[in-house]
Amino acid sequence: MITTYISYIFSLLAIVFALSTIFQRNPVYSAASLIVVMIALAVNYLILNAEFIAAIQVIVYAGAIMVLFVFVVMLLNIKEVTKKSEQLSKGRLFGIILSVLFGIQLIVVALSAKTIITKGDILKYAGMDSTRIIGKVLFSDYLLPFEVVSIVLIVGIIGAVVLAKSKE
Amino acid sequence: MDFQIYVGIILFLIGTLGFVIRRNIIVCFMCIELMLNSVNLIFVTYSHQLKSAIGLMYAFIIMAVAAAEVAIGLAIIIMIHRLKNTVDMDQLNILKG
Repeated sequence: MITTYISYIFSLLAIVFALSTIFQRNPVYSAASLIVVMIALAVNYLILNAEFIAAIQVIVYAGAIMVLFVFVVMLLNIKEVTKKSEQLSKGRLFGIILSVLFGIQLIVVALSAKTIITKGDILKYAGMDSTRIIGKVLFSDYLLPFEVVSIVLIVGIIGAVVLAKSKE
Repeated sequence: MDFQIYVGIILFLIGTLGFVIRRNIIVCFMCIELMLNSVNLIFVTYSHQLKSAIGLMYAFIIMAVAAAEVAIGLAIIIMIHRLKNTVDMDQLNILKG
């Protein structure tokens, strides 16, 4: 199965560049690594038969959101955070322990989730491609969430303009 | 079970870890994006596994909410930088009584 190997390669790429995102000193390199993660995830979506989500991933995340990130990093022109600040403090060590515990909990949930969610009635694909069925579901059963999302986007636009506007 | 679920969990943990260990507020924000992406991956994987479109729906809605969140969050970061002239989270402690 060639798709399986492609999926392995791009999953590995996503993990490696996610680690690169959090360990790079320069925020611009972090942003560039995050773009690679998002494109690798888009490839995984394609392999999982979610073509529409893959396209939206590339357009919205890798296109719009990361451009905003890079724009803000360049706009603020931040200096390197000092060495002392990046050292391992007591609170940060506590945070690392907490995130490890959280990870163990996540893995336990993921391993036990299969028996829970295979019950119940689930909308089947019924031989249609995923884009078509997203459209069908989005404009019938999930019409209210779809409209609420448009309100959220309007609030986002207005909020960003009001917040980033200068004082005078 | 598809292995992408484990990839999603690993990415979520990397995001959590990055949020904890990094002090740069923009990088912390990127870690939040990483966590949102990993949750999307898990939704899409389960959608594929259970032959259901509901997961794709949620992934779509998460992306829309994430776009709004990034716009507002980056505006707040610009405001913080304008007020305090720093993006180091350790120096943003005026709420600390």
